[in-house]
Amino acid sequence: MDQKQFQTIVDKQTPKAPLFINMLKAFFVGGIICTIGQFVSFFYIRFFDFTERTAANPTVATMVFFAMILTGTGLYKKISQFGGAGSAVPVTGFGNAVISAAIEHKSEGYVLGIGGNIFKLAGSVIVFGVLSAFFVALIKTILVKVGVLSW
Amino acid sequence: MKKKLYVLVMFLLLTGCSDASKDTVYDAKQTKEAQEVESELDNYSDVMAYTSVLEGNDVIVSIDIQRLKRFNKEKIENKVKKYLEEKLPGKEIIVTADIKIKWELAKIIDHQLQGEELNQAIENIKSLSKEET
Repeated sequence: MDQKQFQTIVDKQTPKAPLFINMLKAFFVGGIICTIGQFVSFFYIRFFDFTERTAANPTVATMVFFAMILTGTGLYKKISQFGGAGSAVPVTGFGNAVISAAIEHKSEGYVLGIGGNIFKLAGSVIVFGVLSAFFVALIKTILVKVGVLSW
Repeated sequence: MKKKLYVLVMFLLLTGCSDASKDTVYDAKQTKEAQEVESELDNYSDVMAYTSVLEGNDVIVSIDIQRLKRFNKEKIENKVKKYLEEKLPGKEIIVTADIKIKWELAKIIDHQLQGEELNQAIENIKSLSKEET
């Protein structure tokens, strides 16, 4: 039996993922997380001196803090098992990736364990986030210079 | 479980209900410029509602833009600002669609602030609108 035949048997045996249901779950879980984020944002705008533009920073910090508590108590795992990408794509997913790595490597010590591994999962998000932001800014700068767009 | 779901759905639906904005221009000194601002702002189809406060040399306008047109928020703000600057030359005009500024202006109007309190509130709004970080 070669590799291809084996693969076809595996494909036959593997149950098909319910794509539509998964998407629906991700939509609702992601939507609920974003709604909570919107409430947090409104809280900062209402009760502190933040505008729509400046409220984004404390909102992100608060959502990561919520993710930290949920990850520590093991609740975020349950949410992501149900919601899939819906819980991974918002910033809480990023927080979860950072914090779960920190918890996992805590036994190896604070410097080489937590410090060395905390961005093991989330490091790629930062690298590609910065990289894509650089390219988007570069493209926009060129378009503004050419005169297609304005700042 | 079902009951909880119903409560959640009701809660999410009801949060969509909020008081509709009214067009208001507040001018403690009752100058003519208030009417000019009003007539100018009534012309724009992009502007659903507006709240404005005039005091001395400052004109602060908060506009409500239709949900889908918020992608062009800055463009609409700049357009309205440009037209108002033409109508009221020499004035320091701030046009914004920011909800914080709208709430601060509503506070001024609700409390009918005047004199030093009004000046302080306007300085606060000006510093808020300049804040970038």
